[in-house]
Amino acid sequence: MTVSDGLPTEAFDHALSTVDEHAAVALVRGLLDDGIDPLDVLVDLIARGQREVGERWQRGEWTVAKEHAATAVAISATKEVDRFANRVPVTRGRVVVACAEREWHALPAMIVGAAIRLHGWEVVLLGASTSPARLSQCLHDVGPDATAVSCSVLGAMSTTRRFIEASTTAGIPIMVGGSAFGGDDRRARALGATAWAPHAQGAVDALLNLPAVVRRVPPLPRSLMAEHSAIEIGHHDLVETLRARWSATTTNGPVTEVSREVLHQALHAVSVALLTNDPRPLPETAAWIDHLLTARDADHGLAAELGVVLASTLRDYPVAHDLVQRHWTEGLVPQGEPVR
Amino acid sequence: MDASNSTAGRLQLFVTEDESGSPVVTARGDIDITTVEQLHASLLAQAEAPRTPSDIVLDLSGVEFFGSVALDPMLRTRDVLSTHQARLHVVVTDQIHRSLNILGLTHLFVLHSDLRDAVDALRTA
Amino acid sequence: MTTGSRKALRAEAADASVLGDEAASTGHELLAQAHLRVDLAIDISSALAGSLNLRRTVLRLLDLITPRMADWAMLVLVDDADGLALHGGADPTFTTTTPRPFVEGTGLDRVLRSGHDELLHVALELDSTGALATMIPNPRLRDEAVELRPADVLCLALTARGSTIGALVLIRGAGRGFPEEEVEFARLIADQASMALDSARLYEERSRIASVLQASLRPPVLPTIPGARVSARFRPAAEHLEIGGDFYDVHGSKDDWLLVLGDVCGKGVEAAVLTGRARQSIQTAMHFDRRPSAILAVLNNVLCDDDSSRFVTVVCARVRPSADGTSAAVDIAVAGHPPPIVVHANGEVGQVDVAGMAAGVIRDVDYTEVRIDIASGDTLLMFTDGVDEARGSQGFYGMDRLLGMLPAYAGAGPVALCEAVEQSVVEHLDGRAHDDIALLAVSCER
Repeated sequence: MTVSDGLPTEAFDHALSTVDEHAAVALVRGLLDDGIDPLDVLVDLIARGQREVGERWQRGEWTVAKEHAATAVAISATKEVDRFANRVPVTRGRVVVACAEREWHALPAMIVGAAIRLHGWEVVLLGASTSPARLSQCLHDVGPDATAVSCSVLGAMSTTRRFIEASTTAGIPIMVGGSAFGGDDRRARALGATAWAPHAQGAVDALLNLPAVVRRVPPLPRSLMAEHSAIEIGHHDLVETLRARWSATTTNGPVTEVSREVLHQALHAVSVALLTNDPRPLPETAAWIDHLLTARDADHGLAAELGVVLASTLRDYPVAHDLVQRHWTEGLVPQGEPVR
Repeated sequence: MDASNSTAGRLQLFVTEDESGSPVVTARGDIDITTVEQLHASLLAQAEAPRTPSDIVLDLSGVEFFGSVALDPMLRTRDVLSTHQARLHVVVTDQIHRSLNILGLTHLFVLHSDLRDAVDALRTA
Repeated sequence: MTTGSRKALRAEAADASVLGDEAASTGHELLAQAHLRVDLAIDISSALAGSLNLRRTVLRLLDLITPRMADWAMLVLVDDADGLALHGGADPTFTTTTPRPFVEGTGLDRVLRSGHDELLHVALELDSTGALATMIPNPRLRDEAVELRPADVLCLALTARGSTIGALVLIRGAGRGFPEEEVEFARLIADQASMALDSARLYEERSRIASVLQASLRPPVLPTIPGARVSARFRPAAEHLEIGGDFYDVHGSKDDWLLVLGDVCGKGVEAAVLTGRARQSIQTAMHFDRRPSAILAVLNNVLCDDDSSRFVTVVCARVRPSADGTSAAVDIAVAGHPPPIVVHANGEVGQVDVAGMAAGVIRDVDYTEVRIDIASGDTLLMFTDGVDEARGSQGFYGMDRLLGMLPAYAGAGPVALCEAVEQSVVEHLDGRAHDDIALLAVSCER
């Protein structure tokens, strides 16, 4: 049995891939009973296992359905840690943890919620795809000491900004994190978040250093927001235009299954680049798309071609057009091999 | 995200009379929670109007969205009419017919597939 | 001001204090002070408007008042239970309570009873704690105030809707005090604060009532069924209310379970109340006869007898898993509701052929029941019309789209299936308003 830091990672991964909920939960329960640090179980076993699930889909090994099913198992395992965490006395304040709308990966928020709970905070967890209205209502009702938002998909970044507006308007500090924010706090700062945390432990630490009251965030730069709004509103039409112009979607092939996802992600990358004034989502998404396509034996060069099609489709949006032209291919090298 | 893009539709209602003087209430557009009150007002006004009791025709052939809320005014109208031994005729699209089938309420109304049939039925009544 | 164990105040750029220097008399300085006061008034106004939560409003207020208006502030709120809640001091998040009798006869008590402000001078050479003691009933807070060596203690009554709901005690340190116009300005701020605090209290009261009622109307936590797995999703039209006109319930024990999913015509709170009644009627009916056809017949009559003219559509499934969990016998009856879909392990998808009249329209209706058997890996999915009637930029979601997306999730289990359907519908909606959406799925365990 392979273990990592003493954790039975292979057995857990096996439980995920065979969609064996009982085995996963029993494994976690056993570790907790043995006195293993619950945070380690969350981060090094469950979160790690879930990353592997995502990668298997990306590599084309697993279907979306299998990914959903395995994720459901990871969620059950997290709930087991939650049950354990709920025995920890509440010695600190209250935190509302939420996933932004279009954020279907509730697991990162659940993991952060459990980690925070383990440190004595009371956690109110709003599930996947929470609307700004629902978050706002919750903040009025609960009056927490802080809000924590997990954002793992680029498409959820707009709503995350709305959450920041809602929370800071109520004077409540807001901490953000998740893979959509990248590896540093640049995007988080651009959106006006009070703090950024790269992972669950970071979230726990950041909570201790948040101010009691914050000011409402100032509005984002108008020039960027004008294009951002237009692109969001015209999202569906833009997807259809891209679909008609990109060679990967005009012919039937191995790419078809993921083509919808790819086009959405490409536009979300543009949105986020505008919203956060950070061009990096573009080359990162280009590389991700390239990886996704080549794993399905698609032609090399398709990702680069998409960049060209995307730029020309966005001709009416000068800032967006320019960003795509300048940065899309940074993530790709000749012959479409992604930069590692 | 953008509440103004909601499904709340518009409902157009107008009332005419057929040759025998029976009211024909025509609805076009969406019948949902925001527009059902209009339908309610219109139908009940006709059902409770002081005149020789007659059947009423409700023409839904131009309705794009038929929410189950529509059944409220339709059932109420049916109840009022039945006290005068009158009936509610309804011109339905296939979609609406299917909805009524699932609801199991088709036998409570006289259903027609077009306005012509409904008006003919009134004449022969 | 803050120690390691206390929360830091907002670390924003220091706002110049509106503390007036008694000696400032030039027009320039007076104008500057006036500007600062206006700024503070505007900031307090917009800050107080931002939250309906009492605790957060208190925090906000204290955070703004110090250091711009005073060096130290304590907010007193009268509790319902005849106590006083004291907030703030050096740490704006500090909170404690004091029984009302303890402050009997003190200056604070006077302010609370009379609704009139009081400005007391603190004699530093003599007993400096006298004036402070009469306004600050808590020893820790009193000590903090003493340390500042204040000249004056200003106690402002917080009055809203004709009653004094609390008081605001302000202190300026280093021998400085409150000149006349400062006291007037503080009175203005106190008025604003009173309204905001009062609104927050009202909101909290109502919230509590709503919250308790909502809890009873929210969808239930699902029990564990031996030999089967069950999952549900609920997305009300008014998402922030967390309740709506769709409902589901799972009741039973051992190997005999009843799953119901229903839709009360309409949405929002009124519809939610009716779902409570429907659920209770169903639960009661189950005690007498567990057949879905019988349960619906009872529900129908109960609703007909009820004054409310609303009808309810329901699907009712009796699930009896086999001992080894490889199959389950399912009896299904519907009252005006779209019949459930079976997603077979092999990817085949079909809708059960059963129909019946909506409940609550006509008395004494007979309901038919059909029996299907599901095997390991099959999932039975019940749904409300919020799913197929979801309207996006590309029209209605529709039954075809629903039936089309299901085969990919064959064998994935009810949790993954419900999640996938919800995700698919919400993405189709793309932010638009929608009717209540509810899903309930059950499958055989291996």
